[in-house]
Amino acid sequence: MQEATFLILTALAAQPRHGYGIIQSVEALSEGDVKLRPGTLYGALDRLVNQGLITVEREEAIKGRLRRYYQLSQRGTTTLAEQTERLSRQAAAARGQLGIRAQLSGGAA
Amino acid sequence: MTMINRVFLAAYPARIRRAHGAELVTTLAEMTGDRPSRADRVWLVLDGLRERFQLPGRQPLSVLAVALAVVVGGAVGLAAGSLAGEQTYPSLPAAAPLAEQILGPDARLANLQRERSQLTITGHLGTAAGSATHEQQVKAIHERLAAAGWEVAPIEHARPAGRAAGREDPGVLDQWGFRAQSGELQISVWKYADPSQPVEVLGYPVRPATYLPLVFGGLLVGLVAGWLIGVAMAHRLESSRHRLPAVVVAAVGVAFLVVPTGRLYQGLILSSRSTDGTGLLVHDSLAWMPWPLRDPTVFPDSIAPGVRTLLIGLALAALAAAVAHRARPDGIENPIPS
Repeated sequence: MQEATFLILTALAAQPRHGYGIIQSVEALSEGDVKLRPGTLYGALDRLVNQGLITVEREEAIKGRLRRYYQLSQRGTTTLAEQTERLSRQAAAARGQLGIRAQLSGGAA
Repeated sequence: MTMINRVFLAAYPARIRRAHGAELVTTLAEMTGDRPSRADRVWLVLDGLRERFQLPGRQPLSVLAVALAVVVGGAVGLAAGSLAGEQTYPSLPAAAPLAEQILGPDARLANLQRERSQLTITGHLGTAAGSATHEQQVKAIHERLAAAGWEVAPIEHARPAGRAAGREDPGVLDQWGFRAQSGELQISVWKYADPSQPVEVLGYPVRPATYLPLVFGGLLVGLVAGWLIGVAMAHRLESSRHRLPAVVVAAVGVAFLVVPTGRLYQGLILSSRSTDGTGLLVHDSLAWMPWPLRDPTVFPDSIAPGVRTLLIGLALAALAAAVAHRARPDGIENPIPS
């Protein structure tokens, strides 16, 4: 799963959000590292809808403009949880390896 | 939706425009306070174009759909480029004056034929030259053309292969001949060592410098168009409820496309290798259809059966795309009138 996709699913984990809300949330979650543009966002949302990972929660028309709110589906929730678990394991493994490296460096010194 | 937004959204595939076009414009307006900069608009278009090229996933069916579409698209582009290139070929001169120039005013002409890209002239030389040996007859033509300003290659003496190997083969004769070029016309002149056989002259237009660039340009455009169509087809198949019937129809279409597509690439290889300037046209390879795709009673072979087979295959592929087409799983469409 690509980083942007993971962050979009994460942005929708707590509550439904509309397009601009997702962009803001992703930027905040990634601490400014990932800045989505509308074109990249809706390409990703299209794929996630097709894969059944997100669904449309509701639509609003404000001053003739469409706001569509997306939410995680059950499948999306499961996928995000599995991906989070996998990344956690990998992060823990990386921390362990770095710890070993630090010990070896300290021993050598 | 304003006209300018419609223009920018045209960069996106239809599925994205239909499902998310209005949202996309709303989000851009919210992000930019209704005043998108030029850079915002450029990115909007670039992201749309990138989306057109992006595969839906790495599933084997998607990859296969794109691969087949690219190969077929390239072949169609080759045919189109070759047809366009053919229009740049010089026209052949009238046969009768050319025959008189080559064979002399006293020649007894047996056959004069002027086709789209080939001239055929056969005839016996006049009485005085008729008593000369076959080699001398060819030499006389060679000298006449050289004096008239043609670029003439040396005379060649072609011996039967059997004699070269130490065997006599009475059914196969020696022949003398040469190639010559004048302006945009190239000819080959041959005479068999048999008094009853006429001098044979075949003429071809010299391939113009524009032909191969148009062919390879057509190929490039076809490959890109094939990729775009393949990606659109892969998206449709991935989200279609009618995937199986669509795949079956597409498979039948591919079966029709295999031979003409293969022939066009074969034609490209042969045409690219052709260095004698006789200029085999790539799309002429559509005439090389096996039975039952060609009409053996038509000679010279027509490209019509190949074109027909290609069009049937493309029509079936389009039908498969129509079968696969359906509303999105959750029925996402733009609800706000645009």
